[in-house]
Amino acid sequence: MSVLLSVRDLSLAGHSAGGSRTIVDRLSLAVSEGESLALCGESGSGKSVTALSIMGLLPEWEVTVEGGRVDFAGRDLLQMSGRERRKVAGSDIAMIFQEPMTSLNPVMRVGDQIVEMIRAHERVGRRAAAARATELLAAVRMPEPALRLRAYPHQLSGGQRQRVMTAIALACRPRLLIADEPTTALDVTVQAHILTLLRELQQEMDMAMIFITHDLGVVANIADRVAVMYCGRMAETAPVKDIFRASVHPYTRGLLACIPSTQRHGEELVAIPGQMPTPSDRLTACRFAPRCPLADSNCRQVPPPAVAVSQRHLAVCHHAEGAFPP
Amino acid sequence: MTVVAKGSGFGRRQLAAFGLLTVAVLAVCAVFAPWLSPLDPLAIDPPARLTPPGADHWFGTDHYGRDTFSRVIHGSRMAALIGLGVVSIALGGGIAFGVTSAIFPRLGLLLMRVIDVLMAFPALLLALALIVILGRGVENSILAIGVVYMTTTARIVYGVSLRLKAEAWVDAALAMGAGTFRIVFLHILPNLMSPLFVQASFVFAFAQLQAASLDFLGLGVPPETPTWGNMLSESRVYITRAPWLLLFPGLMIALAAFSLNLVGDAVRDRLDPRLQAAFSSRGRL
Repeated sequence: MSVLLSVRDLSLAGHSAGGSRTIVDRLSLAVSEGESLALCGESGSGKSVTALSIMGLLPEWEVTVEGGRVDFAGRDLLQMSGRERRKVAGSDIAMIFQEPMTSLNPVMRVGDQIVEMIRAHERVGRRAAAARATELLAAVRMPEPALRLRAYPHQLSGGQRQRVMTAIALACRPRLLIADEPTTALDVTVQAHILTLLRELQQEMDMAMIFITHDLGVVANIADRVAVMYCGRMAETAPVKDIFRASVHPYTRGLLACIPSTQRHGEELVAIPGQMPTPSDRLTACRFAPRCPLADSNCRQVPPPAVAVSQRHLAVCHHAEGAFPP
Repeated sequence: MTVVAKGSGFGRRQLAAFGLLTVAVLAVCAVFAPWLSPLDPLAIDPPARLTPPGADHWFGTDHYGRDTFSRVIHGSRMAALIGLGVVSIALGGGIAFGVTSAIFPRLGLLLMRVIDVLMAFPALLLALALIVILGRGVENSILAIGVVYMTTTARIVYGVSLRLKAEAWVDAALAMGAGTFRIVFLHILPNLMSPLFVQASFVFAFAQLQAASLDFLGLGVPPETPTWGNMLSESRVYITRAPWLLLFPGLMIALAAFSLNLVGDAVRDRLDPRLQAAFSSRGRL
């Protein structure tokens, strides 16, 4: 499997009235072709803004790229002109957003929105594009696709809208799909449907996917590999099995302990004590140290190294090597 | 000036029907004025001057003996012409300024300050100043009033466009590789339509009032042309002797403005799919 997208030492700075601060700090990650990567982390860990920087959708007055490169199929996206970037966006890389309720234009029929998407990237006639739109809706398991083409977004349910969004995203057969918490706004049962759908489509179309979530619970079903972010930095990245069975970073372990289990009945819910430091508290050493049960003076003074636990398993922690039995 | 009627009785639908009917009647008057008016609106008849309303002259006659009914009918022509002209200029200019300002924020700051300066003048004063520069006449009246209402329209368009630009579906469209052109024409302009329809009806209505004011002050359409404003202006000295001369043109101005507002509200309610959904879920109003 060759690497499709590689983010190297990406740094992003946020600007507000209070001044500038680093919100993503020398982040590196890679996605191979056809691979599904789950990008996990709590709110404010920088996962969504990383996705936006890959898409070139950063609100330019608020967030700027301070360094690093984002290579997609051998080309640095950050060096491209706006026009080149737009060509890549949608056709090679597509994105699904959090809010299916507001991600569709309310005054356009959903069929027209899919057709527009196809015609924005390919020279096809309206009729041919409409036929493709019907196929796409069928592909995302929309009941009565031909009928739904003529519906306005407000006539569809949340799950149906997210299916339409998925159809739009898949319209030009992208090589990489970025899904930014696509199920957060949906009912739990609908969530499961959308997750299954995304996983199936990802495998059917042999497409790479970055699935952004704050919920480690959904990761097992959707991802081949998991990257855990904390406070704008990578904490741990490993194949999904290793994350659940052999994670070494105390933050990952803490997150896993937080997932409520059906086996441990009547137990209190576990939480990681403390709060994530805000980007303005500049911590030069390990950023998890204030909340970490294993933190020692070394952790509070020296930035942690990236330790290769196994060939595909990296943990950024002083205690990674040998401290944890797998 | 939004008219909202709730419950039974003279409700939303009846008001809309009334507005639509009135506008339709006025439109028919404007188009078919020469055939509908019983007499020549310019023909003078000195012996019959200042006749009260009656069988011969339904709305009476003025100080030259001209038939007020015929003049009122012909007045609707100029009213429609000015209304359409002003709406085109105000909406065209307003959309251009507003959308451009929203899409290019730095340029927008500058353009919006220019609009602010124009808006600082009272509407009539600005129109008068423009007439002084341009000279009087039908076209210049339209242009002057159009510029006055372009400022408020640009403000509305700017505000709505900024909100639309921040909507998730615009981000989604950008993520799918849509360019500025596509964003503006597919995602911003269509969503501007329902507020703009309402704005158009208000502008049409207020244009009537402004045009009448300009005519009344003698700075609008040349006085020989029968417009409602000119009729008011000419006959104001006869207000005690022949009040019908002011009553009927005044009534027409009020009726036109009111019914256009009703139509605007009705059109907005019909056009906005979200509003429609809200209505249908609450049952028929």
